[in-house]
Amino acid sequence: MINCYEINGEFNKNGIKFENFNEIETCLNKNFAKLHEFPVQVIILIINEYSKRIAINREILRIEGVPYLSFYLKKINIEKQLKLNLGNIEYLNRFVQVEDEKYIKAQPKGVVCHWMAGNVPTLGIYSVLQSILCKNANILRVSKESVSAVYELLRLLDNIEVEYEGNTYSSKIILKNISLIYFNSEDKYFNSQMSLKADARIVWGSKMAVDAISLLPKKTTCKDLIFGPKYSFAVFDKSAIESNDFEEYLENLVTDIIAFSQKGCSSPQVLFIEKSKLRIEQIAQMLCIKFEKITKRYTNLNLEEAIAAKVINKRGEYLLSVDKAAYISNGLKYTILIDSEIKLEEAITGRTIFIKEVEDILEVCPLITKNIQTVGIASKNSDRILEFAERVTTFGVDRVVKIGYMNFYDSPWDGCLIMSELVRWCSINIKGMI
Amino acid sequence: MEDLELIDELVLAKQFNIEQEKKEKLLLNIILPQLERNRENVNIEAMYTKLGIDISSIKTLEQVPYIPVNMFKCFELRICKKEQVVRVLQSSATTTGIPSKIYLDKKTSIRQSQGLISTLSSFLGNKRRTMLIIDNADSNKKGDSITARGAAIRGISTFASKTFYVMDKEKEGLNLNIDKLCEFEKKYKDEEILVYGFTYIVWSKFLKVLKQQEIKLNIPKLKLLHSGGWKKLISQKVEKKVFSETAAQIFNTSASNVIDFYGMVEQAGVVFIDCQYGHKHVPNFAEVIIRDIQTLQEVKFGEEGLIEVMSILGTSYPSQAILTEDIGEYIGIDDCPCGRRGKYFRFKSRVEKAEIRGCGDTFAEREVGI
Repeated sequence: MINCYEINGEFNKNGIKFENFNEIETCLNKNFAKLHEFPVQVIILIINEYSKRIAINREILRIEGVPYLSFYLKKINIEKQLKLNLGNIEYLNRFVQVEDEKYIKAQPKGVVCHWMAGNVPTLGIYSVLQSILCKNANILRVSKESVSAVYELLRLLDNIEVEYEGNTYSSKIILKNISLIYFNSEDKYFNSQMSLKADARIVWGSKMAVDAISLLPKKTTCKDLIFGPKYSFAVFDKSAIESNDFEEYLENLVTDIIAFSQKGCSSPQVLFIEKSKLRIEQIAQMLCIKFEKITKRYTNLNLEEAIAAKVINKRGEYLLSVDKAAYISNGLKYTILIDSEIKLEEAITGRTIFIKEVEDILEVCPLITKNIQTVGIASKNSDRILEFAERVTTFGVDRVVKIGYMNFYDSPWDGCLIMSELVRWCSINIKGMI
Repeated sequence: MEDLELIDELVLAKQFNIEQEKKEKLLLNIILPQLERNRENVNIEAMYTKLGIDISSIKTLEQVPYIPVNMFKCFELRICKKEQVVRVLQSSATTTGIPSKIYLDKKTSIRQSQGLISTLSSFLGNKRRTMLIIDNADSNKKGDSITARGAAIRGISTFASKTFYVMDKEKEGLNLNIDKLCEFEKKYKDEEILVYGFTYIVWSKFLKVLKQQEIKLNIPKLKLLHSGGWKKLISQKVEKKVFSETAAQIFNTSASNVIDFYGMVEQAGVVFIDCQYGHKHVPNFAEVIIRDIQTLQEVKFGEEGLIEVMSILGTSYPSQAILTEDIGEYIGIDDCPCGRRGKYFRFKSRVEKAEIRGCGDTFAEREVGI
């Protein structure tokens, strides 16, 4: 069964059970035109109010990633993102003249179906609101673990009214264009039915998940945005290590590691440090202190058995090896593993970071593949950062960001300007006709 | 130096009769010198150094550094000289494809057998009985190396006056020889006998086959011991109760005669057998610490965690503290109604290896060159 937690602007905490997508589709089709009539400025204003509501809700702010989400949804940022994605936000409202008697408009794709990964609950909100900004209708299928967080987040979007050019607009129309659902991820029938409704499919998740959904039947006109599994790491150059800000960089690294249980595609798994006056062991010891300090704020480790077993085994391997080192907490609060092999290690997660020393941060270039998403960098030399970014992005990296910002959602993401993909670029070309 | 006399005393004497507080002191006195000796192995020495272990300052068994059980697959954790190794025990390698290798010298091998006998005596008495082995004789063939199945068969066979193997080895695996089984039943149906088999083999190659062919046996006075292989059965949704009741029906006996015991090749000689109250008890020469999966500290009564098995039996490999990948529930100390002293617990499951997957679930190097 499909469990539907929000449909037609109405919330149901226990979920309404549907045997198929007919009712969901009918509701979305009914409401689609009303959203289309909204000037995009109205949607931005509603989202801005939504961001304020989130920012003052202590309970909701406890959900991982929500404080940043609230910042991201501010008007100034959304306008910036739209401009970056579309060039001109007016494309979303009307045909904009681009040449002599040539006009362009960004029309909605139609129904956008989102399959969300379970590890980052806020991702569903980023995904669906970008689609709403493009005036699409949405079926948002979230994982079992995320249902309640996404439900609570969406509820805050209810009953917002904004004034724009003398008219009043309600957020209800936005909610009427979102259907929040859950069904078993292995249910091929429901996955297929949902896929067939989609004019665009946005899939976030593991390789198994994205492969399975990619193979489902779909409309020939359907656009796919696949955000599959990715790997991320961090680099610290000599200038950063020998600077007064080094300790702050280490703290920022720890926050990047801790966020989303280190399971995000942007979570660092390895830290490469450039040779400096500090020995790798000293750096590991300093990192231990930062972990001890910061983990006091994040006491709920809540490791799954499988992750705990992986961490214990990796610790054992590094402790027993004569040529490796390990700096570990009491219990499984954190694990720092050191060896000299310049390679990317399989992600252990559970606050496990591998540290490797390199002569030059550019030595990581041969390790880059298309699977690498984010490199978190600490450096005091902007020319060096540009050179490094130029090299690593050539080989496959999508983002190079300052350490501490690795998990902050941004556009472009995974090499993609998402909103520019969620519209149909339509044109009028009547030059010389009239 | 090891206190050899005390070790022998703890291994050979009646089991399950030392109160916890006293036992902890006794074991600690034996284990600390053994840890010193473990330093002869370069890997163990590396581990103790990195952890800053000061053996003289260890005051409780919980503080003894443990070795994750999988490390016996990655390192040669041998304490004795190569030429002193009389046998290498190997695990079944079901999960990783790589078997654990446990190096036994003569002394360790003898102590493990003695430990097993001491423990089993508490449940089976000392009388030797005819034994039916639900396996093929090849599992226990002589050689330098022996599998977990072979080690278990060999250990339990010490309680046997005669042994009968009832499975034939064929290309596609083990097949039940029904004629042999019926012949055995005819001859020994009224006697007290022992039956042993690996849990998975007993279920899939024996009980299921007999059930399918609607064959029922009549050997009511048996004790069926089985161990290992629960992982496969749990994946087939076969629970312990179902297993015991099915076996009892097939043999025409009471389910209480079907006895599950927990042990591992890395701690051969230390087995945990269910008492009549369904609790697993720890023999005098061993200890169990159930560690919380987050803090790695010992859990409280009623809580679950990773099972660490400690033992004083090993001198040729570091058997003192091995952290398993099994989950147990800590039940109590010294006060089981069955009268056995020391800690008691329940085996719950293997560690769940499936984890929640997310968008970071990849390994960068898998797709090099794409």
